[in-house]
Amino acid sequence: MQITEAEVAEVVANEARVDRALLTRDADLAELDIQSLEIVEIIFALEDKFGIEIPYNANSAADKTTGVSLKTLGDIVDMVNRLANEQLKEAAVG
Amino acid sequence: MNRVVVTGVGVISALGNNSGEYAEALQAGRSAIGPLNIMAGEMAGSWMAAEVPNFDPAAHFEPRKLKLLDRASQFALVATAEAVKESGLAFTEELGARTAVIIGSGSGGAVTTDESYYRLYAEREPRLHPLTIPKLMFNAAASHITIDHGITGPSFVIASACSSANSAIGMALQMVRSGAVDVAITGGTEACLNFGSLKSWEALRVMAPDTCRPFSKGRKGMVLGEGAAIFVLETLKHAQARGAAIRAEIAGAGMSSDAQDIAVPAVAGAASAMKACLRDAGLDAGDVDYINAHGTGTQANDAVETQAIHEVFGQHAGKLFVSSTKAMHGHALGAAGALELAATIIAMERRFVPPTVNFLEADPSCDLDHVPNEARAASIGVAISNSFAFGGHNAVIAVRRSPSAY
Repeated sequence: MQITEAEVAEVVANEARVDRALLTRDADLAELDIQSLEIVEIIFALEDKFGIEIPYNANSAADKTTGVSLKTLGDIVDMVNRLANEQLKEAAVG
Repeated sequence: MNRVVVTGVGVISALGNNSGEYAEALQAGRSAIGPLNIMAGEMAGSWMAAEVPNFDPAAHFEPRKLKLLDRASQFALVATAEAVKESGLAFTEELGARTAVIIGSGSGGAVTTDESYYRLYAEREPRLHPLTIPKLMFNAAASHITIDHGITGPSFVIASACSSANSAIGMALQMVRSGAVDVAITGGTEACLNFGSLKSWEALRVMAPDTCRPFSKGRKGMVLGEGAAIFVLETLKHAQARGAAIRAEIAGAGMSSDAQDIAVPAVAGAASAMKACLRDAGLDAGDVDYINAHGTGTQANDAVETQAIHEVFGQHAGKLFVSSTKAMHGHALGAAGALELAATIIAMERRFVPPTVNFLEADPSCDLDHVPNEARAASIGVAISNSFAFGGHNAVIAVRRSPSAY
């Protein structure tokens, strides 16, 4: 399963009302004025769209050890792909 | 102690989406009560209600902001924008820090609560939207006002059911009067016309099946309304120093608790709030020209309120105009006192007494001049506005005509 950057960018653009053209892989979410509640909305929408669970907690967002550090669009793309593959494997084992 | 004046009024209600439309409808004696149909199929319901008409939130708020706003917050922000604009105040960093935001609300983000729980219980959605809590929290309206206007002084929401707005206005009066702040944005907001709220009110058996007829024979109960009215209060000195137009003076506030029954109103509690208000304003009973009554249209409230007015005003009660504007704008619960204070200020300025519409015939238990059905030309110098809530919370505000109007 491969979730593309374009698919993720579309979700982010919709949820945070950011110009789609600004959402390149290195785009810094904070610089685009994407605020903390909007990150939560983005997570929610990504979970819905890709049928995955994202273990994101706003309290530990800054904690790199949780594996969910979302600074750029690329971070989100990598995270959803990693989780999608992990959860696909778990489902297959289960 | 500072004298406290009103320099801005903003209204959104079933009678109109701004204070000008509201004033016209009050003077014309128009009732905005009509049938409200909600839900469909087996859950369909129909109630009499006074709904804000033709309100398009997207015309007032950017999508990014709107998704954070329950209908109650939307109303509060629209009314605040009107009031602040009229006041001419610009909230600099310094003034923002010297300003309070104190808003009354009876049911907070009830529409969001209702919609969210419907998704969980009826639609079996496994989870709710991430913005559910910021939208439904009771304090949201006050918070958004501070954010929109850069106000960094004290801010909070007061809940005392149907007295919420008057409690808030009374609190704001005291903070401005004492010098704790120079300016306060205050009033009330309510958006309670959702399925869950209407079913809950219906279960209490106090809703009128036909319409709201305060103080009239044949009255059958209350009719819910919605909306917001927001005021800019400031010290007389502050207003005069900047040459602001003064709409009215908030002369005093009185509050009390029945401490008896959760739902049944008590004469003593209502009377003691009115007495406390007159005392606080330095007024004698004989100074008052008009009472904007709580006048819900229930059997109990209207008779008890009439008795309480007799007790407080004695011989003078017969000379008072005592009307309830709820028959026009509905009972907007936590916004009621604010809509009614706006009505009272407008009546003073335009020199008329707002009527009690839908009035059929006099009831011996409500034997005051209730100004039935048609507005009356009269000059009101001093008025009080009553709110008596379920829970026995009573709050009364006294208003004097603007010092600049004499």
